[in-house]
Amino acid sequence: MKIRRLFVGFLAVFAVEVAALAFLAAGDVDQAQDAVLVNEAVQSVEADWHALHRHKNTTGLSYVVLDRVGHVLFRTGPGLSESINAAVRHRDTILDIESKDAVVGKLILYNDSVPLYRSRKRTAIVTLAAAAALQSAVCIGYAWYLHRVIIKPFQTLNGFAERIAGGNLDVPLEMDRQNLFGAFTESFDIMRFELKKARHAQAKANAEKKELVAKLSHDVKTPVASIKAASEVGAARAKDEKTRENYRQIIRKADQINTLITNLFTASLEELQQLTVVPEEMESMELRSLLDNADYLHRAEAPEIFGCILYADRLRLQQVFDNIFANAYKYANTPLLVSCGPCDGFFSVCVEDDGGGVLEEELPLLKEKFFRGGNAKHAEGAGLGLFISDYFMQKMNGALIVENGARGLKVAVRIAYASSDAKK
Amino acid sequence: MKDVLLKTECLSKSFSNGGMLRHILKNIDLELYAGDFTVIMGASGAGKSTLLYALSGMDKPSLGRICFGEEEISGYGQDQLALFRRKHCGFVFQQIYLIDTMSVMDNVLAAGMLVNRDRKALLKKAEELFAAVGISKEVQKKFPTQISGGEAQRAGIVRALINQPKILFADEPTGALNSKTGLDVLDTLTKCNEQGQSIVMVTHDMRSARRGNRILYLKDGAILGECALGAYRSGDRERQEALSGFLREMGW
Repeated sequence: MKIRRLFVGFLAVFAVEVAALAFLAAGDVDQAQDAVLVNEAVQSVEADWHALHRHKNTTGLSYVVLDRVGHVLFRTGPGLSESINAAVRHRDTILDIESKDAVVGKLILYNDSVPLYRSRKRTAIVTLAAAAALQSAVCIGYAWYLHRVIIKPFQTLNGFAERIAGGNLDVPLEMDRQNLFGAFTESFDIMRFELKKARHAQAKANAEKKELVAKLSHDVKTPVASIKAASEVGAARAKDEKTRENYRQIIRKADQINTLITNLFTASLEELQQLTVVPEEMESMELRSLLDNADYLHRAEAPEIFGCILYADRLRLQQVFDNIFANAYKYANTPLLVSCGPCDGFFSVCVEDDGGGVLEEELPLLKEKFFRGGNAKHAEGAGLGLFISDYFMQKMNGALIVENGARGLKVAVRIAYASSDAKK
Repeated sequence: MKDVLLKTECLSKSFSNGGMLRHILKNIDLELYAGDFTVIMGASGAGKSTLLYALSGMDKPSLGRICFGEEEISGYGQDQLALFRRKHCGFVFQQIYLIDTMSVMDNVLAAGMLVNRDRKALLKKAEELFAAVGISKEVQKKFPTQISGGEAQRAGIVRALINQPKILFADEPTGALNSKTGLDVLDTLTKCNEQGQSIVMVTHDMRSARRGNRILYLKDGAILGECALGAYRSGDRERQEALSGFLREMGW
């Protein structure tokens, strides 16, 4: 609806411009001289020839009267041609003044079409310039409108889609529901939410499965241990070698079952290996947009970033920052302090909240899988964020350092420099 | 303790090619010392010439800082860089770029006049330099097309030194010369260095590299390693073996 109105508006503006130009083109100036008035001027001059000082111009025309030798006898005003030569150059009309059948002088009728032509030219230029300015303004306005309504939302959507593709479902899509993409983006965000829910359910099911495996392994290990113990006693008491060998066989198989159960339990921990991390060279300035994307509630001021080339996977690094900021929003909910700089041979990005930090004894455990701090029980989460972030950073030859700062929890993302191996 | 002449911090240079950003130099931290004959080596495409152009102010770095003494030249505009180069740097290229329509002496004086208007003093300085590099008065009067490649390159060195630069930058100065004339040019550079001239030379030629007292090895836009060789002495086998060992270690 809005677009149709806009289109009609554009058409109206262009129609007005075209009409103005057509009017200008069609309007013809009457350049013909009024013969009656000219005749009247000549007649009145001839009548007053002998007393030209008393002559009155009643015609409204501009003219000069010369005698036969070219002296000016009368002029209606300044700025007129005052000789035959000047009159010829100016395309003025030269008429004879007769008295008693003899030519006694000349009347030079001023040609006023030049100023008229100039005025027309000026009007045309001004009209065309105004039309061009109007058209430019309309085009700029439309480009701005397109940028605001289509391109900018698309860019936001693009970043969002990249995150979803990278498996980051925590950052919501902040969109103006009034604009063209409103309903569309809302559906997108619902999709993200549903995916997140599904993933949570999956994580929960996985955790339950793991619990079951742990419980079962414990339950299975106990009778296996009993079987092994009994077999050891049996082997010790066996009277003949064949029976002893049978017991030893039972003990070996019991050990084998034990190993299998342990493997079964640890195998689920290896699933992280499936997350690919592909680091490449990137400029440190790109961190600004990653940090801006992660800090969607704008709780931190953009830090000063010095220029250098880093070695990281943009998508995974975005995930790491997203996780750190989401944690800070969730657990501390305070303004954040972000700083950047070189540290121990890495480029370090520190994010510190104002929430007072965590218990010292919990610090070493924060990056452990499924560990959740004492203050995290009330918030949703699986205890995987920092574990995965740490894994990503290690894969990028970097590190993730979690410590208590002066004001709250301080998470330092240490990113490797490009070719740092070569530098070392 | 040597004086630091030029210092870089996280020097990086990137070029955009068809929308793809290629990082040619990556985070180079480097100090160049006064009086050194620094040789930059590396395979083709390692970024040697790009580094030389960035260090000499011929090109601006994409990221990082370059300080010449207290001056930070990485923030200079093109005009300031031109003045900096004119005042402090001398250049010797593989192609010599002498002006064909001027005599050898006039080529040198033209470069000198950019900084010093005292023609007499310039003439004296030029004659001293020509004598030092072994170019006779007859050759000085000749035009570039009338002299040999070795003479032209030595004239190029005189032109580079006429304004008494703090650093002489040389980009493959013997690349276009035959073995004998190349050796003359290297002898000239060594002699200049012995008289205190700081030189930074890019080369992939082992014979040229031997002249340096400090060898930097560049790989994929970063300094992979460096080797201190000490002052050049002709026929010093130990020194030669140290260089060969270093280059082998670097994967040359």
